[in-house]
Amino acid sequence: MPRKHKRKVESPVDVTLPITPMLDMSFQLLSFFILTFHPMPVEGQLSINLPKIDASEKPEIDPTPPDEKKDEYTLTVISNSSGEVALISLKGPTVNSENIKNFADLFVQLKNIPKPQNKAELVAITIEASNDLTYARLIETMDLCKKAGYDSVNLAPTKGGR
Amino acid sequence: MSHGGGGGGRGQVSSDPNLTPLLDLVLQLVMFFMLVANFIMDELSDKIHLPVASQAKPLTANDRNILYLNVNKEGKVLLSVGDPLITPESITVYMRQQARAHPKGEAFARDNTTVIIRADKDTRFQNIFKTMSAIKAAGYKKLQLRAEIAGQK
Repeated sequence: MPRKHKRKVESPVDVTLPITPMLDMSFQLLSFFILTFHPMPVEGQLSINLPKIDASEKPEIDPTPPDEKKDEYTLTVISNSSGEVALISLKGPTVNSENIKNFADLFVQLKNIPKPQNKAELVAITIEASNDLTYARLIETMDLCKKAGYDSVNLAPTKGGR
Repeated sequence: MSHGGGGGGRGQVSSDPNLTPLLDLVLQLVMFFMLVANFIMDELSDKIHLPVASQAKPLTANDRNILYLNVNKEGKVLLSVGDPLITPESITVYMRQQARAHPKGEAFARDNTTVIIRADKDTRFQNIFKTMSAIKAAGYKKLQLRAEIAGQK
């Protein structure tokens, strides 16, 4: 006669994953990332034409028709040794200002440039900056040109470098 | 809050909160911050302090081919991997390598890639001009200078 094995009735094992320590660790990671996170400031661009590498370089073929040739103005920004603006001058077909005192005066002069056919696109401005001028002042100058409505801006070093 | 467990015995109510959804949420937040932190460190160096401009325009959806050059206060071009570039010749070589590595070919890269210079506000014009000339020598056609947009933080 087969012997009957009586199995012991075991109480069911309660399998639980301990979530709490994992959550603690996740919160610590989260607080680390939140504290070390520095949102980047909103950045934007100012378009600029590429410079001529040397004076002998031939200009590219200009697609603009001859009756829409641009009036070219040269804005010279001379800096002192600390990189701040020391002297500003603006020269072109209709303007010859040698001693512009500050950026506010420059903005007025730029706004007053007579536009051919009333189009600001037909005015090109070349900023000649001295070697020591800081990028902040250069961007400020470019920003003024754009604010005055001129999109075609070129950069060049001043003739003597200063 | 829901009550977890099997309900317990007669008259006993288990009051363990269900933490799993909370854990899911926290892990998602952790993942978000990790990814965002990596994106920032990849191309845009936070060692560069940009000047402010009111007329600067943010990138649009059409600006797909972009190459950043981070120029520090001393005029060195910082790379995410490797030593900084100092001479114009090394910048030109780097830019040519980048054009060659473009999936649509070197000519496409030169004609369609917009090079954005992110320079420190205290760097001098000669460093900017040196970098611009090197970009031109490498054959690129589009260039922009980057600044912080005034009034937006």
